[in-house]
Amino acid sequence: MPLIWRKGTFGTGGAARARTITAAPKPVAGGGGGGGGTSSPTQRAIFGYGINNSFAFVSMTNLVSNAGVVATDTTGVGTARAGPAAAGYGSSGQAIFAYGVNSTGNPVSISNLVSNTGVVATNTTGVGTARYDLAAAGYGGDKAIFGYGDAGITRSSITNLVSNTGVIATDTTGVGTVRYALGAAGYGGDKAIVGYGKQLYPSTVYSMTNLVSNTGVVATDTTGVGTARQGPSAAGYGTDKAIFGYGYNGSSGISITNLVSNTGVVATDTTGVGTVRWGPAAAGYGGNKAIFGYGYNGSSYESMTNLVSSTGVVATDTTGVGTARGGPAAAGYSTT
Amino acid sequence: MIDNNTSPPTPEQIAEARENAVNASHPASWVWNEELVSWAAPVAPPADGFPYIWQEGIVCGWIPFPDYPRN
Repeated sequence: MPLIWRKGTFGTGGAARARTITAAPKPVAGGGGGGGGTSSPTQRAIFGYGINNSFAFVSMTNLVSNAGVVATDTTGVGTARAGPAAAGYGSSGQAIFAYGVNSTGNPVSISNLVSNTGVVATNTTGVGTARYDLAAAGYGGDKAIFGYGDAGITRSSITNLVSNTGVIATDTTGVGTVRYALGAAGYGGDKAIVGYGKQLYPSTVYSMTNLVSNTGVVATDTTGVGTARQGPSAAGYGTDKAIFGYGYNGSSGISITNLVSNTGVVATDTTGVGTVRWGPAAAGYGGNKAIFGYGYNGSSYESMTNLVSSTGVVATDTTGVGTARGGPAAAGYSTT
Repeated sequence: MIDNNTSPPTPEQIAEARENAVNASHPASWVWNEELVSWAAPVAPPADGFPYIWQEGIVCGWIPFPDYPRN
């Protein structure tokens, strides 16, 4: 049976953010690929959703302790899906998973709130353009932003702000290069950065970044630094900095990382540590550290994790816990 | 059915067809399969009779063809 390459390629089973701030910003450690957003550093993290090695969409979650230890699977709540994004929000360490692609192959806009004890709530009716492979991060101390992504037929630079009560706002017209499969994290205490990604037509991987102000306003493209890639993940570390890591450079998977200063400046490539993979998820934990986990190694999904120290140093692989999967999302939660 | 009236391709035609296949648009992570003379996904799609699309973003792998009836 002939295979046709469209956006993806068909196969047949069986046959073949500018507000003036008047007080010093509080740290948003745990920002990123989810995370961030809360006015106090988050201590724990949660990985959730994805697609497993049988290409089945899943909804299970895995909690991460304040020491970076990943727990076994927690039975999933909400619609099984892959490619959602997640971020922290609120004053006491809540988080939100939103968007994704469901088991019928359609992008969705539903969201699931996560309490500050790591309990995932049932679906909240979606707001905004349904899409997946987007990015999310905290900003403004207690809010979050989702942006960019793949809507199935088209890609976008649309953003959606999340209030400090976890309510997603309608679409904000996009700023910056339309793309998907990118990463985002909080930095500088109350701001966020979105970076890297890809476009399909023509097939291109990017290295540009977009800074998000402490009011959720996205700036135009900043010239990229580091290897252009799709499918990286990002998280906050060290209370006010961020790290992008892993991804796919258009010809091979990578484990390269790029540190982001507390002013949003991206550093050049740091030699990678850990198993090369793309589409992992990342979040902050322990107040000033981060964790990358799961992802696709080029032939199968992984469950291993890599801890990031408070100075941005990535550790070697930690044996995976929980269901190996690709396209999960992660966020920091809990201030205790 | 074998068409006995068609001449077998010449070595030049075979080489041209192979070159076209090599240069064909394909997902970046697909690998060249010399036996198939084609780019192929690193893993086969689920063998459940339903159509899948290869997705290559944060989500990498076979995802269900949108809206294909499954009941």
